[in-house]
Amino acid sequence: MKLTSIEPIYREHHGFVWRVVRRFGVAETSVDDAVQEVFLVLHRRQSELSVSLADPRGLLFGIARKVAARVRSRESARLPRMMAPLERDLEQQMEVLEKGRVVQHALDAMDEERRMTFMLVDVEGMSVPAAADCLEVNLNTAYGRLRAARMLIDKAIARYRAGEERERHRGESYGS
Amino acid sequence: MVSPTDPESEREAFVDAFRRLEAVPQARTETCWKGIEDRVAKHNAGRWWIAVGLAIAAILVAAATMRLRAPLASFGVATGPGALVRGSEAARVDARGTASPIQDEEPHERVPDVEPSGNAEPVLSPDGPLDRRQDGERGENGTREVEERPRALESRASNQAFDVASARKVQAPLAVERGRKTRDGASALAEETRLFRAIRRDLARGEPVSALAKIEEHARRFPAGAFERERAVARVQALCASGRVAEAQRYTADALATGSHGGALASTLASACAPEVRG
Repeated sequence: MKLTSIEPIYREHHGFVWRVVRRFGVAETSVDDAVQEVFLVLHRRQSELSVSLADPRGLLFGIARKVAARVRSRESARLPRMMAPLERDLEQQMEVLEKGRVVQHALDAMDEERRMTFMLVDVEGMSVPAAADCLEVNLNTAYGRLRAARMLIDKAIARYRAGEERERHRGESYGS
Repeated sequence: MVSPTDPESEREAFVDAFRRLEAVPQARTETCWKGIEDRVAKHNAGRWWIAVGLAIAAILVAAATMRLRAPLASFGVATGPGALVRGSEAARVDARGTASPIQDEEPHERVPDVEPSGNAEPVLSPDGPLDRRQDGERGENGTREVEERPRALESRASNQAFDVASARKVQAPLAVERGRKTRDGASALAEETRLFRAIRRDLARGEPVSALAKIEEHARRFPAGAFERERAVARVQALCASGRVAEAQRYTADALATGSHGGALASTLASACAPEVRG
């Protein structure tokens, strides 16, 4: 089958696959190759698209998980930091950067099950049943992991806010 | 307006910032697609050469088989079902289809019964079981073999891609190692963030000299930290605010030459050193 038949899926879900591969711990230097591999596998398995036309993310997630595992086992992987695109207003950009990093850091510290549950539901906007299907767990397990992940994210946000509050009260500075 | 203390809303605000942090630039999407197209083209080219090679091999084997029949017939070899083939001076076909004379006193080779259909003619193959072919079907068998080979290669590649056991094995140790590294990383990030906020405060207060001192400290302590790019932008801002426009321009030019955030610094230079740059 032709490659062009999966191009619409690629255009719509490239970002999703990219983020999933990254959250599975693939190094920055390998993520593009891993993403390509996911869509190459999809290209070879096009006959299964008829099953998941409504939302191919389930199929993409499954392929991405296995590709990421293979890539990680080949090289020493770490969860690399992301560079945010620079915005015109540095203050606004800093706020995005700091808040985004709080979540990124909290996700990195979680175990994979909770991290991916949170990614699929709260970041990528999947329903919990769809996410449970992707992760091959039952619905109760998915809800439990999501609750636990949200608690960890909330704790990270609370620590960040507490740090901000301490700085404001102390007027902390470096040599000024 | 949503209460700032509502944890769910606050979490959503942070997650939204995370989504923006992790947004994939369009250029990267395009580059990745081109990479996929190239890999598919190479794979298809490889399959074509495999198909050609197998077709040639099939033709050679068929040709060698046809050459073998005449010598066999000359020794009174019955080539019907259930016949015994006596070899004395009969040519033997090796795996590559080239004939070589066999020695005297070769053991007899029994041709097993062929299903009584059509004009089946058994073919000797010293390296394996007899390869039965029907008249008119040789070409088809050769073609079938060629078609199935690439699918077998794909299947193996796919199976490698779906090794669930290896996926599960990697999961646990990586999580433990990651946990250890991120605990240290968390305190380093917090420290880096505090220092960078101090830089921003100095810039906001119009204290570029103090900001530059802190930028040097930040660069020394966190050379490849989370705020590497933002530090470069802050440096250009501080240099411009200190009146060191030429230095800001040199710094930006170097960044453009090395591809390190050059575009972002150029736009910062244009806005922060605007009156001087426009001259």
